[in-house]
Amino acid sequence: VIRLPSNHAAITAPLVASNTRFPGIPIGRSLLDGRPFHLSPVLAPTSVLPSTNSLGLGGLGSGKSTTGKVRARREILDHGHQYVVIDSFGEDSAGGEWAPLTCQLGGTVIEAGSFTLNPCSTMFPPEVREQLVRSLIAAVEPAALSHQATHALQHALNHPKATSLNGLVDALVSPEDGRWPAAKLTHWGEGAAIALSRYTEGSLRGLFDGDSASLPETDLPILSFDFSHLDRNSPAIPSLMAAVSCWAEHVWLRQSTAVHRHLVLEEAWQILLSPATAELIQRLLKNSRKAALSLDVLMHTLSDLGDGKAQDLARLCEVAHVGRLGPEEAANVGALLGLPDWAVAMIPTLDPGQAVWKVGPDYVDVIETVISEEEARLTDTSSRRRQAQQAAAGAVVDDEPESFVVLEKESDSDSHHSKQGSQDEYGDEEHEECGALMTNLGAPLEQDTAEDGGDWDWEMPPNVIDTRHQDVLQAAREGRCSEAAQLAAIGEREDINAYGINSDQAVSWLATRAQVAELCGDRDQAAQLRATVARMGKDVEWWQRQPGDTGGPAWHSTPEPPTPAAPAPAPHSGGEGLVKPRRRTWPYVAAIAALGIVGGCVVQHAHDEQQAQQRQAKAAAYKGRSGTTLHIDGVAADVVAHWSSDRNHVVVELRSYFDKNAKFLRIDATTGQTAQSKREDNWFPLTPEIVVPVKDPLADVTVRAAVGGKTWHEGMKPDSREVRLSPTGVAYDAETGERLPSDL
Amino acid sequence: MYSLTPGYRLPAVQRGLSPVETLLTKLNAGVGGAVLMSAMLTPPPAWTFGAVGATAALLNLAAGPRSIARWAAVGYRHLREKTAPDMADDSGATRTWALYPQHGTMQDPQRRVAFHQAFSNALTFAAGQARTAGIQVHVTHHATVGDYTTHTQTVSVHVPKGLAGQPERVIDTLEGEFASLGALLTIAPDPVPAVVDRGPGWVGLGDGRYASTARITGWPDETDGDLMPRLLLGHKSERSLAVLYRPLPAAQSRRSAKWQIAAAEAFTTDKIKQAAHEITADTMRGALVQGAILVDVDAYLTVWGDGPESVSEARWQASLAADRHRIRLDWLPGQQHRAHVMTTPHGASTRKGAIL
Repeated sequence: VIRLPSNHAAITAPLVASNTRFPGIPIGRSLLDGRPFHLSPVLAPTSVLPSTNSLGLGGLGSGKSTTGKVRARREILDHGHQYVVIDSFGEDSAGGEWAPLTCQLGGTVIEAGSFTLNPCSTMFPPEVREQLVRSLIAAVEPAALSHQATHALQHALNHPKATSLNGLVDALVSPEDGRWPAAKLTHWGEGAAIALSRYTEGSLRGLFDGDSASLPETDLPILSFDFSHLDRNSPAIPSLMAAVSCWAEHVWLRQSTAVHRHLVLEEAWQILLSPATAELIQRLLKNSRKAALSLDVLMHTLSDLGDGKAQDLARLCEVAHVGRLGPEEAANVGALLGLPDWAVAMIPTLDPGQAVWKVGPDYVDVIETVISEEEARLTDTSSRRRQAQQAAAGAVVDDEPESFVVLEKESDSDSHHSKQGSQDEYGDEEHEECGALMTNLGAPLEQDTAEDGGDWDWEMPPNVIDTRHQDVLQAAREGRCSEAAQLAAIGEREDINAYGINSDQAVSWLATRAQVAELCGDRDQAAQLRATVARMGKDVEWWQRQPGDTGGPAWHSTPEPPTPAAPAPAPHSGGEGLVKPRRRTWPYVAAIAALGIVGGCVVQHAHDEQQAQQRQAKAAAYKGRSGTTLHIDGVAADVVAHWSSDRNHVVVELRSYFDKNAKFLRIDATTGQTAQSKREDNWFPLTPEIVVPVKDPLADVTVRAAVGGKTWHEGMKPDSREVRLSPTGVAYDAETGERLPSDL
Repeated sequence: MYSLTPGYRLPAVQRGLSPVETLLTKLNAGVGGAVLMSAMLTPPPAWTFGAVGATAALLNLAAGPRSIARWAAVGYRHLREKTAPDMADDSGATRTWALYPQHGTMQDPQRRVAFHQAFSNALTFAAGQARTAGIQVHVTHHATVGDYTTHTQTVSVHVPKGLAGQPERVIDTLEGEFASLGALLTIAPDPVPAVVDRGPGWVGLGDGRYASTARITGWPDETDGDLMPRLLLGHKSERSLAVLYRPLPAAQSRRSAKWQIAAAEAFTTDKIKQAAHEITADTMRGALVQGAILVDVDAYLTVWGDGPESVSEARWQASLAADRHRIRLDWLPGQQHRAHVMTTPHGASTRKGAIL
């Protein structure tokens, strides 16, 4: 048990996550605690979210528009909301960024320039007509709307000729008498007529001077106004915005039956910067709650807008998500939105698709938008760009075709099952447009499959032909220097990430950048980059020396992908060229010798050990006395040996005791000591004894005992036996080795 | 590190013997001498020597992992700890709530500090509800990780039987206190899953999961208070963590602090460690003066897996994570079949030391 003060112990309380959740569509995963994040602002209680407008901020590629599109798709599919998108950020020619999503959901893309609106259409109520024309005038000539001009305009709008903009201008220029005389009305209407003539004869011709009375459908799930063809600073944008917002306010919002409506302003800063349109948007924002409308504003950052407007916007948008921004911008945005410091600190490090979300006054979370593969296909614009580049270079793309198959199928099925009733009302024009878009997208598919023989049942290898260098150089040759530099920077970063900063791939980018700099006329930078290449240990023009290069200097210097290792060389046949590696024999010899020595030692040691063991056994059995009874020549005689206590000599005796037959006894040691005795005076012979010096007290002693029996007489050689006496008390016959009986 | 092992580990020789030990030594010498002397007067029968020798051999010669004495001790423990401690016995009042603080509390430093202060106050308040220590506050966190993470957080209060006259009233009082921490909702915890499989360091439970539980024996010295969010948020594996708090009443806290500080002063010879103890003591004293109390903290971490391999892998990963966070884990060998209970709300009513 750990005993802590309670204020320290409280830190260990594992209460880390909240259970706050909002109703609505799933959006993504919280990076703070991994919980799912759902939000449909309109479903949240009013006490939590007084307004439902949302604001999406983030740098280029931060995923803010992907989030916006995914939200739109889910709101439409799950809750049947309606969307109108003002899409001013299309990258490619196929109808703006929102076009694939719009087509997939069965909506319409309205392209500025190809669609002319009639502001005097009879489908607008009269007051809307006036409002719209006023805002058109205000968009080009804000000063033209005086009291008198307003009256002249009002008068002209009532003229029966005023069913189109041209007619309206005519009615302004040559008015009929009304409450005021025509001359006065003409004078008053001059300014307005001049302003409107920009739409009928001037640079903005073709946008509003149509004669037809048609207006966009109001019951489509999604309607995308594509401004992407217009220049960002075009004066048409405020006018178009004015028209669109007027249409939205007075026609769409009144006629549509959806439970909730969204107006998406993509890249909204150019819309909000213009004072005329900003006012319209402000009005929409303020009326949004009443009109069951949410404005979803997507833009880069708030700092472009200036303080007052930005604060208003931030105040009116209760839901805000902020993708990756630079630290200063993040600090500004954080201050405007009232984000806590920890969230502001996270903004510059967010990945694409991640954003700091602020919902209501005090809910702040970091959300990673989770999108399905299908949504990724519908929202990802850069993959299309990549694909287009690769198709241009004739490269084979790995998984693009499949994605387009799916896309096409889904759009087919979608248009089959959804909005069946409204199909006819779309008109052929939109259908053709969406169809053309789809075939555009589908075209590479056919091309690729044709190349491949139609077999797609194995996975294609990753790109083997790297066209990036060529793309960069191509861009530079065509004079698009900044784009080339950016593409080179992107490619270099990718290769540095993939292969490392010192890899050949990375260095090849330096060479490419050098060439780009040269093409763009920046010789200093080219020289500097080449010097860098040289300093990195590469030949400056090393990439030019690749074999098989025909057209000009090599632009493509990426090392080839590693080829599989060559098969092992065939068995040595001729002998030339193949040097047999010298084998080192001496280690083997040394090892064998060492083993031999060790083995010898072991054997020797084992032998010694055995001997020592025997010896030890003998020592254990040492008695110091030994004796045996012999029968020689009819005489029973004992040979007895005593080892002395100092163990350096042995006394050996030959005893016949009182045997009458014994006449002669002699004992000889092998070392030369001898003793004998004869029968004298008919007395028994004395016991002969010898002293044998020994070195090893455990060694056996061998003696020869000779005994003369009854028949012995002087001079005769007596019978004898050789006996080996062991100090363990045992005696052996020295000739046969058999054990002799003990004398005891 | 706060540690289970006291800081004043000294060699016994240097420390000397305690009075009890001295007394035991003298007693031993006296009794032994008396026995020897009597043996000199009247030699005992021969088998006495055999018996004494055999006993001595049993106790001394075969000391080690396979000694009979050890087998006996381990066998006894096996018998006693064969099952999980009985959590169902009606020995007090327990109530469990789900508790979720407000969103962003753990991320915002100021709000985090305020939350911890509030939790500390709640513990202090809980300790003041009874005359003696015994009220237990058990907090668990379980993260189910899939595509998304689901956090299950509970707070349980256990008032042992006989500690307070009206345990339900104490619990109601504390409910109000915990409600100020966040969203509080009374729940009935799921029953403890039965152990169906046992292995080295893990158990298989009846619901098909495998668990391995460790006790947290050391906490990091210095944190910014964001230890738990860093430990529990953002990892990719299923884990449970539970902390059992046993707050001591104020008077008992003061006595305990007094002895703790005195012991640290008396038995520490290392100068640096002494200084560190002094700082700790100052902090503790300051906290007590501010109205805090002492709390016994007992924390457990369970890792989960689908099978023995995955739970072993999870255990390894948890060890690495604990090292990174300067947390010491003890994987409770031989206790796994009981220990996983501690990371469920059922651990609230555990008696002190039920899980070793």
